[in-house]
Order: sequence, then C-alpha cells, then structure tokens
Amino acid sequence: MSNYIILFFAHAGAIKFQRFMRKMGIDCQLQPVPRRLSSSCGVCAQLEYDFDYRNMIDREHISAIYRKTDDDYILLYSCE
Amino acid sequence: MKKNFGIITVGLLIGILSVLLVKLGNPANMGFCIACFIRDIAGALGMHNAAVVQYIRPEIIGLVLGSFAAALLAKEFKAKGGSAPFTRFVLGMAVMVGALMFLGCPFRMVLRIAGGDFNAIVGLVGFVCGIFGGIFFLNKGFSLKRNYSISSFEGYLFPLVLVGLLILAIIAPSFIKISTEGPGSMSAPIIISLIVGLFVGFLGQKTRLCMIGGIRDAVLFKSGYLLWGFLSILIAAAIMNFAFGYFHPGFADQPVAHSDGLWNFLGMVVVGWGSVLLGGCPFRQLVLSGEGNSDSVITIFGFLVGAAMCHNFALASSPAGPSVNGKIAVLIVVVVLAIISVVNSGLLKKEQG
Repeated sequence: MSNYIILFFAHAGAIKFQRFMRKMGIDCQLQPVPRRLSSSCGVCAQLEYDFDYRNMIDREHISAIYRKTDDDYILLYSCE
Repeated sequence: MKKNFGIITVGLLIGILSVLLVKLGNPANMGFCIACFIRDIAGALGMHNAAVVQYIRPEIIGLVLGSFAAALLAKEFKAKGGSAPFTRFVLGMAVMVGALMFLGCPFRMVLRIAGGDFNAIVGLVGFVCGIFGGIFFLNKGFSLKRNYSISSFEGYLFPLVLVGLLILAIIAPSFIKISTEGPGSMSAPIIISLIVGLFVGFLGQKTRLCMIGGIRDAVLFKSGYLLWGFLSILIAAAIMNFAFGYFHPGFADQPVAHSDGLWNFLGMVVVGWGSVLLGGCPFRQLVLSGEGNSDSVITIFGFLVGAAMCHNFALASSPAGPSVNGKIAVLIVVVVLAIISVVNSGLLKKEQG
C-alpha cells in the first residue's frame, strides 16, 4: 500500500477524482497542495492505493503524482 | 501553530508595512489596494479621465517583480497559459466593478477594517457570501480548464513591460497623468513604494498568501493556514493604526469610503465570487503573473480595462456614495458571474442529458 499525493490543474478535477475513487471504495482526502510540491494554491488528493499509479493518470486533470514517504515526496508522474 | 509561523510572520510584516506606506504618504487605509492602484495606473496612462485617481503606483510593479524574483530564485518560474483567457479577462473586469463599488480590493478591505472602518466589515460579510457562492459552483464542477506550458518569453514579457512602466513612473514624461489632488496625489516616495512592493511580492510568492484562499481553504478543508495570513495582516495593521492615531472606529466619514451598506455588501459579493472563479484574489493574480502565469496577466488587464470603464461610465463609487450607473453595473455583473458559473460547471449539459 503506497501513500500518494495527486496534484490537479483545477479544483473540478480533484472533485471528480475524489468521487471516482470513493465509488471504487478507496478513501481519498482533498487538501491544499503542500508548499514544497508547488507554488500553486490548488487542491490535491491524498490516498492510499495498492495498484500501479499509472492507472490513475488522466492528462486532462492530473498535473503530477507523488509518492509520500516518511520524510519526502517522490515524483512519479508530471505532465510537463 | 508551528507550521503557520511563517505565514503569521509574513502577515504581520505586511500589515506593518501597509500602515507605514500610509505614514509615508499613501491615502488613509490604503497602504495597499490592488484595485485602487491598478485604477490609478489606468488613469496615469490616460485610459480614464478621473483627475483625482491618476498615478503609476510602484507597489503594483514591485509586487509582480518581487514575485518574479522569488520564483526565479526558487526555480518555480514556469510560463503557463491557455486556461479560458477571455473568460478570465471578463471576470477581471467584473471583479473590478465590484471592488470599485466597495472602494477597495480584499487587501484594502482588511486594511479598512484595521483602521476602524465598519463599512468594511459589511464588505467582509459580502465577501464571505461571495466566496460561498463561488465554492458552491466549484463543488458543482466549475472549471476554466487546464493551463499549458508556453514559451518562457511569454512569461518574461509582463515583468519586462512593468520595468518599462517603472521607467515611465520615474521620468514622468508629460503624457503620463499624475493627480495633483485627491487620492492619486497621495503617495509614498517612489523608491519606498517600489521596495515595499518588491518585498511583499517576494513574500507573497513564498507563502501563497491569498485573501480568498484563506476563507476558501478553511471552508473546504478546515485548513487555517492562509486564513492566518489574513488575520495577522489585520492585527498588525490595527496595532500600527492605533500607534499612529489612524484608528477611527465608525461608519461615517471614513477615508476613501462610503457608508451605503447594501452596495458595500453587494460589491464585495461580486469580488468574492469572481475571485473564487479566478482561483485567487487580485493580490494573488499579481503574484501568479510574476511566476509566469499568463492567464493571470490577462486577468490583470481585465482589472485595468474594468477600472478604466468604471471611471469612464461613472460606475465607481465616491465618498458621497455609489452611483446609479454603478448599481446597475453591479447587478449586470451578478448576472454575468451567474452565467459564467453555470456554463463552466456543466450544469446545463446535465439538464439536457
């Protein structure tokens, strides 16, 4: 089980993502993006997920995916 | 509390500097006002002819260049754009109509409250209602769609244009209009205004300070981080106003303000609602423009054109109160915001489908 932080281009993408995850029975919390990950003031989703993160990639909505470790964030995917 | 230490410190510093700018010459309760200052710049460039509000405010230039410097140093400068630019331009105009009805952006609203202007508390209630309105549509799926990476030069261009504007402010050629009376004639020395603007812009980029962000994140995520910035500016500015004898509690005879409660309320409803749709208050738009966000630059030009329109069409309020034209404009803007909110939330599609 990995702890992921998902960054979005817009708030709406985060809400859609959260609804989708909840439909799949996966708990997903929305929160402000950690400052060290981005200077944007957007919203991110935090969830524990045990599948390949690549299943989550959605280029229209997701700008980046990080895996959270005890003291760091590891960038897994960035749209740029 | 420890994780909020940075933003509280920054908020306190900004509150102190805002009142010092008044001490050094800026209009009362107007150490900073993004709406008023952009309106003054529109006047200085001859985009409107209200002779009392014309001056190239170096604070605005400093805010953008300070954010630009912070973003470059932290390698966070990224040229981006393409997220509904014309909708953002229209929203920028709309926010300016609301701000000039109230006579201040959210930043000045905080400074007005800190100066004892109770009309700004009425404005704050409207601002919060507007934010709730915007959040309602965010939760209904409102989006101006994603932005995209663009050429770096596109991101550098706005700071460069502002350097040009700064040169105009310094050499003051005859085609630049500068007020000889009224709020536009009241200003701190250029170099001080510029340095304070640079400093605040730098800190704004570091902390992501945003007047709507504080209330939005508190409502949506129970996160008080940005709200602490809002509160600490208020507390520091209030203490400084007490110290300098600028604190005059009441509704009547407040500086550059009127006491028509309904229209103070509705003006800030428009500002709160429009700013949530834009993703940030006017101050935040300036900071984002310095980070290379061309959508924010378009929004700022919406503010600029909106400000010129407000004075050319007599929409802006004065200390005597709101104008009839201004009241009609605010009502039109509410309809415009409703249309933009509904269309971009996909609510119409659901009804059809």
